[in-house]
Amino acid sequence: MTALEPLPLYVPVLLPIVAGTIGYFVPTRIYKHILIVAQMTVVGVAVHLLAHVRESGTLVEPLAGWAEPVGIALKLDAISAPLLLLVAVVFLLLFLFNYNKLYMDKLFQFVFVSLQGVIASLFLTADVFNVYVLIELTTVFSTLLIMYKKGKPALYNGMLYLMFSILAMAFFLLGIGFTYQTFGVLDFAGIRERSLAMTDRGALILPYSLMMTAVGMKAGLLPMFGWLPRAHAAPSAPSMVSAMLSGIQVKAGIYLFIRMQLMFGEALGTRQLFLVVGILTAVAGFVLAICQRDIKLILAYSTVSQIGLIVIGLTSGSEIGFWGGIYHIINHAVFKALLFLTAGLIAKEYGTRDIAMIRGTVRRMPVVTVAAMLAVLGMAGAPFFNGSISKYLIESGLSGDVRWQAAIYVVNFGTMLTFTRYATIFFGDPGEARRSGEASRAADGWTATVALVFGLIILASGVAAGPLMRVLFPVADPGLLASGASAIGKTLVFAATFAAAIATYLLVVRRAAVLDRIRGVSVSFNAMAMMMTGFFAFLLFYLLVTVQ
Amino acid sequence: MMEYVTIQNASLVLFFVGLYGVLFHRNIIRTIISVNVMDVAAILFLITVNARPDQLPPVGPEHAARMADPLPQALMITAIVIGISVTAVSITLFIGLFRKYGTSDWQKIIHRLTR
Repeated sequence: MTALEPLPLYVPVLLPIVAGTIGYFVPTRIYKHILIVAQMTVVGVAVHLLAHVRESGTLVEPLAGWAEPVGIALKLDAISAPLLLLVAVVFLLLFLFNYNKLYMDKLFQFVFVSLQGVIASLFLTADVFNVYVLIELTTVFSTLLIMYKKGKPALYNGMLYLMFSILAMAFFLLGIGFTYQTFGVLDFAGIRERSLAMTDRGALILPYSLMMTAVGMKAGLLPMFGWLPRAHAAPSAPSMVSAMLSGIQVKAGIYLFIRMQLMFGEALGTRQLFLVVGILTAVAGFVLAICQRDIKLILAYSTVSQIGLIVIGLTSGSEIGFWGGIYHIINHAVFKALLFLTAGLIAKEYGTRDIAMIRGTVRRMPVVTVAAMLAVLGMAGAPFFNGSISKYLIESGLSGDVRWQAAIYVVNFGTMLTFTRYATIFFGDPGEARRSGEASRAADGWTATVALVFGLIILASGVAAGPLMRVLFPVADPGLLASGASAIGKTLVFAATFAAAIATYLLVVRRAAVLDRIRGVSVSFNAMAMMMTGFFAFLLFYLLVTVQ
Repeated sequence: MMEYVTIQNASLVLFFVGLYGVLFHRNIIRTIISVNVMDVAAILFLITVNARPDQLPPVGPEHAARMADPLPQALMITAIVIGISVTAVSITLFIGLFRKYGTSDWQKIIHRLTR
């Protein structure tokens, strides 16, 4: 690999879009194959770029011959390279999974691959104005995808998502204005340098709070996640879209959160604040997840909860916790994507999404259920699965303080409780009303196989987490990662928590009427906008009080 | 007193006027217009960054020293285009929404969905 020059960084961005555009003129059957080949190539390119980043550090590529402060550059560093690979792999798997689906018409596939290119470029971009442009693009593409199957609330969900996103981006644009006024540059590195050198920290407050409000909305942080379940679990969205939104797109928001913290976090000292926000997001997410009856909504709210956990890791202030957070981004993308895909199959097979109506999937669709179980185990952090590794790393990143560790324990318990409830759909009697005796209609052999491959990836990235992390991340102390000695202890803790979760489910959750009341609350657009303004105002005043 | 009346401060006021519209109007058309006002305010703010009254437009090779900062202008053309396209998408969506539910009120649509 050393002799090879790295490929240009725009390849993973342009390849899907160009393949999507050129292939648009050939028949649908061939089009599908062109896109799959293009995506395999993108995976190859992403691996190649990752190898280069690990070997020779950050890759920078000024576009159109302008040097950096003035021109626009693409940048790939140790944080974004693994995430770029993640985008490529998950999109490829999604395409393979949906190989036989009827809604995969040309327009859908075109929008989908274009979105892939745009998301890839979000991970490659190095200045805040590009971020603005690209987020607006992803918003428009995702809106189209959310409304793709014209179900009943399709237009409402799409409208809500679109308006809320562009509202947030208006904040972001004004934030860019203040950034440019304060620093005179818009690239990440330049802003970071100047914000650290700044003597008057007060000047950073306004640009930071404006941009962070928008980024927090995109990442789904505490008061601003109202749009997320509506968009991610929209009945009109094919499960492939839900999987992509929850697995990949929300991670772009978290990636921007990382960038914002790298740019301003040190100068303003907001690490502790977002640690608390992360914990609150995680708790609110699982509480709402437990209240839901719709299986896709359960998954969507659990995404909120896991975002909270990722933010906890990223703001833990230690290297182990930070890379644990990044590893959890990757793990969560894989198992949440698989959970959404299998939930889509199950919902189609049973003709309902109500968790109380679905029973005994293990007998009716065995292979799909095995795949879903692998994902649930990853999600719950069972030993040997990838979720346990990243959760353990996040936890050890905060090992100094008992309070934070207790909070993480509560979050993990909540996740387990959610998925104990979710797992009830696997067991029991499939129900005679719908037991037709014939083989499953929703999942053919191919789809089930891809689902199983997905599940095995989850298991493999848990078993081989040590070597995998050493390949993906520049972790200084890999010894701590491969701590096999604590495996028995972890298993015991997991078993105890799991037993507690089952007990809580049987004794409390199944009977609590308050859950129905919480579920009945629906937040209007104005209330969501109010929460966002509230977050902005809170951040502003918090910084005005704390920053000197 | 008069030194506070600048285009930048006017754009900030405009931004919060737009935000007021987003927060307190339930009509979707008004939401779209209000978000647009916020967008325009942000754009106005950005073009006035580093701007002074005696500057010349950044065109041609002459007067390089007296030229206005070209970067915000270039960026804001992009932002204006994006704003227009996003507005077009949201109005298209709104037309579909209105045909389906017969109302342009966020609250009423929620009621119709939950019923």
